Amino acid sequence: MNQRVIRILFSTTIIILITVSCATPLGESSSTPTPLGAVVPRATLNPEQYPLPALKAQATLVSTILRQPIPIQLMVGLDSERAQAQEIAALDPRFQGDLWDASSGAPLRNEIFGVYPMRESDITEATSQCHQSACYRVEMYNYARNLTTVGFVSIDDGTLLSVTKMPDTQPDVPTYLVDLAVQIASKSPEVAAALGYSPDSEDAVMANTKTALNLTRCQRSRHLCVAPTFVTGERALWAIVDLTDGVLVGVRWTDVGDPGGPAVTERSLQDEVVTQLYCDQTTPLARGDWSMDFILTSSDGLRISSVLFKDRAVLESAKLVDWHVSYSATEAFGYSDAIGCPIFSQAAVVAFQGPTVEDLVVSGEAVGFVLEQEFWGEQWPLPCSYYYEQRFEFYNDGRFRVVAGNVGRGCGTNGTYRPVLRLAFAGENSFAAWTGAAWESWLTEGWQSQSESEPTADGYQYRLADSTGAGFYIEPGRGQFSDGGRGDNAYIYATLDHPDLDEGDTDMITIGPCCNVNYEQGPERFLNDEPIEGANLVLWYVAQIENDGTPGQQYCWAESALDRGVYVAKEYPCYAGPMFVPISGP
Amino acid sequence: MANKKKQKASQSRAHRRAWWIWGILVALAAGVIGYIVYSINTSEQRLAPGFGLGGVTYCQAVPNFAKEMGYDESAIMSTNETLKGLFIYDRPLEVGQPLTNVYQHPSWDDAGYLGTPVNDGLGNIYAAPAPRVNLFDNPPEQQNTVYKVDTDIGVMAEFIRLPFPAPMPPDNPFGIIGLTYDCDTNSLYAASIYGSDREAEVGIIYHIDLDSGEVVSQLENMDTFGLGVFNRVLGKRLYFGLTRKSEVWSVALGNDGKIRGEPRFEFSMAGWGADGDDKARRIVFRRADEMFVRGSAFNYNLIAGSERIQTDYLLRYNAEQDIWLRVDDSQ
Repeated sequence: MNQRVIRILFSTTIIILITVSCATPLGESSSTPTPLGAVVPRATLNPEQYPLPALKAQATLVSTILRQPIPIQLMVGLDSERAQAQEIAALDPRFQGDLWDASSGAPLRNEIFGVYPMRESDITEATSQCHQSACYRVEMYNYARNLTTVGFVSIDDGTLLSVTKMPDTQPDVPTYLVDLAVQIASKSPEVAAALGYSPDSEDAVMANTKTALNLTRCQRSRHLCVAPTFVTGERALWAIVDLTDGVLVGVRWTDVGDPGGPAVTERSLQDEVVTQLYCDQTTPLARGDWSMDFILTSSDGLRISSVLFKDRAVLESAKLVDWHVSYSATEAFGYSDAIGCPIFSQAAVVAFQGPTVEDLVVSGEAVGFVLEQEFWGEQWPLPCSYYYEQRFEFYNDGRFRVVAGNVGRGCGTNGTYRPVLRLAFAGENSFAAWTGAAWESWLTEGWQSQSESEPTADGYQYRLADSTGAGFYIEPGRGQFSDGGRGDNAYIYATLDHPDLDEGDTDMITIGPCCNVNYEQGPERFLNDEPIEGANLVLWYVAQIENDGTPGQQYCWAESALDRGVYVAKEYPCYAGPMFVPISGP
Repeated sequence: MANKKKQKASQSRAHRRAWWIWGILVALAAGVIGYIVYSINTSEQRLAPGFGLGGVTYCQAVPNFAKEMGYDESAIMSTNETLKGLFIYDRPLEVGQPLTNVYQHPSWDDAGYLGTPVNDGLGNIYAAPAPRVNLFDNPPEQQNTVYKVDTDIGVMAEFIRLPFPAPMPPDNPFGIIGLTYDCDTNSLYAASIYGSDREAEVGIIYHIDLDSGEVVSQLENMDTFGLGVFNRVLGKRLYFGLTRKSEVWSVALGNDGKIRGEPRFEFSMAGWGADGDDKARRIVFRRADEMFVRGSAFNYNLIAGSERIQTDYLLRYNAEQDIWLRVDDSQ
């Protein structure tokens, strides 16, 4: 009997153990999951408004050095031998090879990061004499080119023995820059928000909140970056600081006991944050009388949906399906670019940061808000790399505008950009075009070039209205929106929104080729002569924008320019897209 | 009467016991035999006599049609970033020289943009679709198909449609992303990540016997990229780069080219190069002890060739320890 009881107890225990072990995944911790982090929108510091005294002092110093005959920021506080080694290197033309811009001769920002006694492993044939004499390794960083130059100096001979250049490499960072990085991180609102308090220098050395400098990389900006890391309990907050621009790139939490995790870098931080916050989930947005949801798609850019104005449904959804880019110099040469999520997507030009929402200001007055998303090629603004924007402008009076923007640079100055916008309207509507004298309804699906008709005196060219007459006038871009636009020259298509057929409701793979110069941009495949009066409608809008790189007339263009000794992008954006004006208060 | 019943019951028990014992013995024997067979099939097979050490692409030949058209051994079969499909042209004498004698058969762009092609010993060319910045020219349904350009007539046609474990998801536009050839066994290896997504890694390395044109072995549930076969004294191994981590792994191959056993970690590339997160997109064995790895970022999204930064790494084989050690990196 006893044996039977023991057997039953044993079996029950085993079953319970198996059940418990099956229900608890290996490695699962009982603690709360580690929060993610944040990406700081790209920005360059305003030289009139540095946020830290140390940044202002550094900018002043850099400005002074750039005016010197040899634009190298030397190290201070070195002993006599090291100072001598630094001077020998700095004065040698071989060491000075990359101090100036090759085409303009303008000075670049250079700084000696370290002077060290040469190691045995540094000695080569060219520096063999350093086995017997005192030699130093002088490390200089070129901020503009992200280049390390190393000079090997013999003190005994007073000569520079050899020079090595290492592209895309950064030397060890001097202590004052470490301190600057910690300051930038400590004073940033993103770090304070993540930690729950504002750390200062003293906090950083408190026993329970240590800070350490981690190495990191900024693969996209190609800038000098380091990551002060604040350790709190089991978690570490990495704050990636861009020391070239003096700004915070973003913050990322990691588990302290997870050495096998991927390195925290600019790219990994941006990709993970954008993916988890904006690609994996829909975000609701309500502002003024407007409300909507938005999400970043795999290849259709930022998609807004369920758009309401004063509780009335306006749009089912709106998105940017493709960018068709063709170059006239070579027949059929160009690209069909998709924009979207940075990883695991069909996009080639991707989001490095999430969308922003800002006031829409006209003549100094906030008249609404704009939801904006940017997409970059990894090498922009270098040739054949692209930077696209989406802007959704919502006005307090019920108007809205869906905008596609391009900031170059592309592969040439003979390019035409054709963004394919798709807008699915809420409810049942009819579509009409202005004939010059009256509104003529389209009975079936169709398309028209913007140039085929004239707008009304108010600038309206099309109309979309329900059976009560409520709806919107459509005002294509003709250069009237005060955003530098030079006219859209658009193709407009009206198609039936089938409830049982996916004609672009879900994410679309590339809809058309790069280089068609007519209305065949993709939406025409949904034109089947179906009746569209009083129906669920989709409006497709394909602007045609010609870029220009002519000095003084740049449009859809970007150039690299020197600013304070480093290369920055000079932007010449172009914007296109229609304005929707309420017919009567919707 | 009662005794007889007891005797019968006792005999019945003994009979059942005997059956149990025999059953257990048979099961044990089957298990041992199975284990031995499994061990033999999954362990490394020493390199067959006649197979040389090092890389196995020594036999790759220029297509017959190309020779007839006047191209020599140095002619380049290219699937470069900007031109759609396959092209052949004379090797430029200097870098940056305009291409000369460029030829494309009308069938060579039927599969859209292509990945790096490989030749077999007869000069047949094998290539798989590889989308650049969109799927317009590379529809998903084509992306798990290997195409073959016939060495004699120069026409490109479908060679084999590889099966896939899941439909192409919207968050992974790729199918076959790696090919390599083994002259010893006339085998083609294809790395496909068709059907993989952020959560599920369902990639497969297929071993295709070019004599039969059939898949004869495969390695499942690993998303892989660059491929290369290397002969060691200990046996053949297929080396491959992972797409989700900066790591190179390998798996043993039999002397018949079949994949054997479990894959093993070889080395990490984390921190290598300017970006520090390169994946091994190409693996080539140059000499008997040199591995050349071309690394670049890979994040399961499309990318224009002009945006891709690639870094080449050189590693040397240490035969004593059966490991690869990085020698240097050069752009």
